[in-house]
Amino acid sequence: VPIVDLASEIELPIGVVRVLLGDLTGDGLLRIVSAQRQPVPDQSLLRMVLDGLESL
Amino acid sequence: MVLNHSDDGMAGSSVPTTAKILIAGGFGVGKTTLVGAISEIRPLRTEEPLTESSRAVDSTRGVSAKTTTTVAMDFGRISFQSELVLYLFGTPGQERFWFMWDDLAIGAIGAVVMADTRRVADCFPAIDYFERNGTAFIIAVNSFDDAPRFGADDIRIALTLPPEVPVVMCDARDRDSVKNVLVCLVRYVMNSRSQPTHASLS
Repeated sequence: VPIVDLASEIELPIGVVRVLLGDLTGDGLLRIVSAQRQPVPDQSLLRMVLDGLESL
Repeated sequence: MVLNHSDDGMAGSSVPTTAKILIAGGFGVGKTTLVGAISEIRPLRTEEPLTESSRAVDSTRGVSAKTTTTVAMDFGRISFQSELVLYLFGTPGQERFWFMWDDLAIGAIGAVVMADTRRVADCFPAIDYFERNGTAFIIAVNSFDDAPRFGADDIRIALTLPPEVPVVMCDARDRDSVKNVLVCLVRYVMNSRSQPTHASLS
């Protein structure tokens, strides 16, 4: 779950959520995994986004 | 970053592909409105009332009815079929919050710089920023009801934009108009990648 989604769901500022998550991770209650992210979106991703937007 | 409630149970659940687009522009230009017009969930707002102490830094000249400002960032999410999620981030209007942009810009498809014809110079800092870090951007002129109307070419000249940067008119309140802006950005990025020297908008 991306942190932005969490913050949105529980209606807390993202900074607050980050601190909470940091505390939870520090206590070993939570594991944070970095999303795989391409530094630059490739053409196939761009095409997917374009198709998605146009079908809205 | 992605959270995992460790120790699976949810093993095998695929992480959706994500993409993001930044929405930038001067203070009060309509970023919050634009994100809210198209995203499927309520933007993550942290609007704060404008206070006496912020008067010196947050000029409301020309937008005197504005009494709140977005302090952190707006956040919108558009889920497409096929496990693709597009995030929209409305970046902070005030320059003193721009330290947050560096994180945001990484991996973004590109940016929409919103302009208000009443205060067109307000988007210079955003343009400077994206030109410096190499993020592709387009200009979306938000058509406020009482704002003077200019052609795209006039805006381009006023902002001293390179000829290939698209300038589109939009109404940030209108879903179809916002969709058109995002489509324009993605097309522009696709075209400029495939023809680096002759980037053009079809």
